[in-house]
Amino acid sequence: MTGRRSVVVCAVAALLWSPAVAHAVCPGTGCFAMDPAADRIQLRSSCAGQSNCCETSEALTNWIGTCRVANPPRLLVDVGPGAFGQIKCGWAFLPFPPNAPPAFTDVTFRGSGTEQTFFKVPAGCTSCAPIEVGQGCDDLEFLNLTVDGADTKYGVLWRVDAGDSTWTNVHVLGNELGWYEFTFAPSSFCNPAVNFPVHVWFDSKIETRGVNVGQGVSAYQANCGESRLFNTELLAAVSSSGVNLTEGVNALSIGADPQLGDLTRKGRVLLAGSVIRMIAPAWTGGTYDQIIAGVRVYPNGELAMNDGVINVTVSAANPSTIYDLKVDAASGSLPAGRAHTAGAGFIVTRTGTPDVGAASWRVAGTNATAESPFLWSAGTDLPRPRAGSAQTVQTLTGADLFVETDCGTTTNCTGGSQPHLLISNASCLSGWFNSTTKACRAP
Amino acid sequence: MIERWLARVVAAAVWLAAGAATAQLDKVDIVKLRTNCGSEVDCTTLNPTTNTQTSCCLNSMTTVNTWLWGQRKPSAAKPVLLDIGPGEFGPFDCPAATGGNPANGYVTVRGSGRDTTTIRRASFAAGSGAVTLKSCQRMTFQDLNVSGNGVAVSWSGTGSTQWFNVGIEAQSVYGFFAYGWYDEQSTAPTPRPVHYWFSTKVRTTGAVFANNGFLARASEHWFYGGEVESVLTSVANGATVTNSAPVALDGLGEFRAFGSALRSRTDIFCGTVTAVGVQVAGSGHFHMHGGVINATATPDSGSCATNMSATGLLFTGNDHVHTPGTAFIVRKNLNGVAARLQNTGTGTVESPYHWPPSADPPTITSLTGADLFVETDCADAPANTASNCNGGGTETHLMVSSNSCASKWFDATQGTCRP
Repeated sequence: MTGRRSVVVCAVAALLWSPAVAHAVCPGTGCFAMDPAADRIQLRSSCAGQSNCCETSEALTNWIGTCRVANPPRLLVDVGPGAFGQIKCGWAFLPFPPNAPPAFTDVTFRGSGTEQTFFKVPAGCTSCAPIEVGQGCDDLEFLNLTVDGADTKYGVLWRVDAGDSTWTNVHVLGNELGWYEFTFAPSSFCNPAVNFPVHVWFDSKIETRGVNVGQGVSAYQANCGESRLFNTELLAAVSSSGVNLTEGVNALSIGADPQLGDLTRKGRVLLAGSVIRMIAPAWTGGTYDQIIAGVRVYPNGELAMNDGVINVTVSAANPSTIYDLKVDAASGSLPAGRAHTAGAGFIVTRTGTPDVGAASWRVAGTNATAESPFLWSAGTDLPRPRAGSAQTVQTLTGADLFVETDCGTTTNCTGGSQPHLLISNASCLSGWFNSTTKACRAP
Repeated sequence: MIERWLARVVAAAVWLAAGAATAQLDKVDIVKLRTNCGSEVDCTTLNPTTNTQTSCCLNSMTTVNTWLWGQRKPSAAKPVLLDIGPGEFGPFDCPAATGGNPANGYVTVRGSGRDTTTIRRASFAAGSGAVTLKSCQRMTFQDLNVSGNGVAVSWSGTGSTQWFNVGIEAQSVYGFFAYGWYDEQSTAPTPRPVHYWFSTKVRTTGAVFANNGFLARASEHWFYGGEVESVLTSVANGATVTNSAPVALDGLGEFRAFGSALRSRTDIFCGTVTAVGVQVAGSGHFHMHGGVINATATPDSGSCATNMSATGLLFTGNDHVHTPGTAFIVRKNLNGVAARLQNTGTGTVESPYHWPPSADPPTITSLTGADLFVETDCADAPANTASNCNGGGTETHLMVSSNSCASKWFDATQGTCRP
């Protein structure tokens, strides 16, 4: 029961206090002149003079789930400018509570632009999400809109027994988790053999701002499913220094975190033309494991990213060890995480002072599980975190190459004019082996 | 005294009426722009005090510019979708707010496809483009083409935009300049304007003084999965071209590209030129990870007897460039110079690159240590003595670019300069 307790409280409260959803009446309050066989309807702030039009998200989803003809055609929902409520599909914390909203499939929600169409949560609901999708929901598509969870913890809650989705030109925003594959409910543990949803993203931005968070932070948490992200930005920018985190802090989290207890989790994420950014301020509170990562690949997680960049920027005063990429070892019956990042760029930055000396890693794991070769920019000094940190960047033996441009016949590469190729090597005190002189570089 | 009181009452009534009028027109959240509005309600006929319509139609961009900013006045709480049908329409303007009014913006300009809807400025106007945006907030453009004479998109002031599935074209004015994106200001306002681009193609053609897909001097751009191309099509052979680069940064301009292609091409042009992929001056800041920077100064067809040069990345600034993971193509013509990197600035160029293996070094110049390649025909030789890599050998040696070596390459396997 580690973590997400507030979700439990919220769900139990909903079970106890929510009135039965009146979605048996068609078209229901808030929808106007609806054709049950329509293949195109609208969600608008005002439906004056419009047919096949709903004015609230709740009315819309109730109508879609309960009022359409049998075997309906795929439905396009044209969403006008403005802010609308939650899109809830088959979501409930427990499997079949009486107040579960109706499920539906094969629906496209097309907004009026990421800066003009917003889905938001009701006032005061800090543990729900603008989009909540659960059992029985499949083949849902969202485009040209913003999922605005600025007032709550989450952007999208996608329960593990839901189906596939496609997202194009969408901005997702949450405070703890932008995208959350929800595996917590007792009967909805991840079971990849039965259901392993696929989520495809194009031209989108998924973001968590980490304001006043009390648990973990991830722009994207892939616990149960496969995600393919193209031309997409993942940004976790923790803006509060008062955090007391009980879970991981990562821009992208993949697989099963053994400390969260659910050992059925499995995640796979493929990125192309995309960016992963993690930004954190200084903090002194006890954090979960004192780790901040751009990408954390837990056991049973897989990452493939062959261009783009992983960029971690942390205050030098933050005591956490930072990683661009951390690939965890096997845990119990769970296999080790795996990553393949040939071609991707990496940036590690520690800003400001004081530098408390916590280590900065480009990649951690093993060469068998973290396939992550990287050629650093040439220079007269070893790779260090940006912004003036005195420490050197840690990495795996053999994974990193670097051309030091002021080498000569000595091994410490100072004052010469020869460019020598250095290879990362944990056996060397400096962490680098000079392949031209065939000796460890001096520290 | 009574007159003054009456004047106040009248003024208050006018103010309230104006507010009410705005509130009624706020009901319109979709404005259609069509070549022919047919039976659609004309936006200009809506009664500001009694309107109940949620959408209306206009048949010219001039009327859109007037009605949108003068009557409807979009806001964050009451944004607007400008839904443009197929066809070609005139320039779109988002003017700076005046008289202490809130900033303009909050509009999605959505076409019917980038080969179907075009916003065009046919004749050059100083300070304006086909799209002109002045301190505009949260603007979105998608599914359309923007075509400008001289300047396609003109930006000034603070604010933000997002572009998705858009084509941007700029043709030169009198052969002098063509900008896809042009920052009117040379210094960044506060807060700094930020622009996101997805799946967009920017193309400029035919200018000799400035042929730039982007000239960013004050704004920050995040460019995903697109193409920026500057081509010398229509420039008369024999001319001298001073600046042809798809991305040019100066002032505080910032450009970050991912999974994209930046191309400078001479096409059929034959004259004096250095085709440049990316040009960074002043405090410009450039990042690119994934994709390619291509500077090609060889004719696409026919022959050209003029030496033409090409530079992948030209840095004269004082800030920073970072491009790990980006490929380069640099092609000169005849005895022109092919430079992958040139740095005459005071800032930092971080641009490592690994060339394909070959029996000969790549015919480029670069910065010391920045370029690697494996030479495949080197002969065995004692350590720290020069190895013969001019054929006959079977050893593969790692070469590193070095301007201290006469050959410009250091044999890192042997520990000596390549002969």
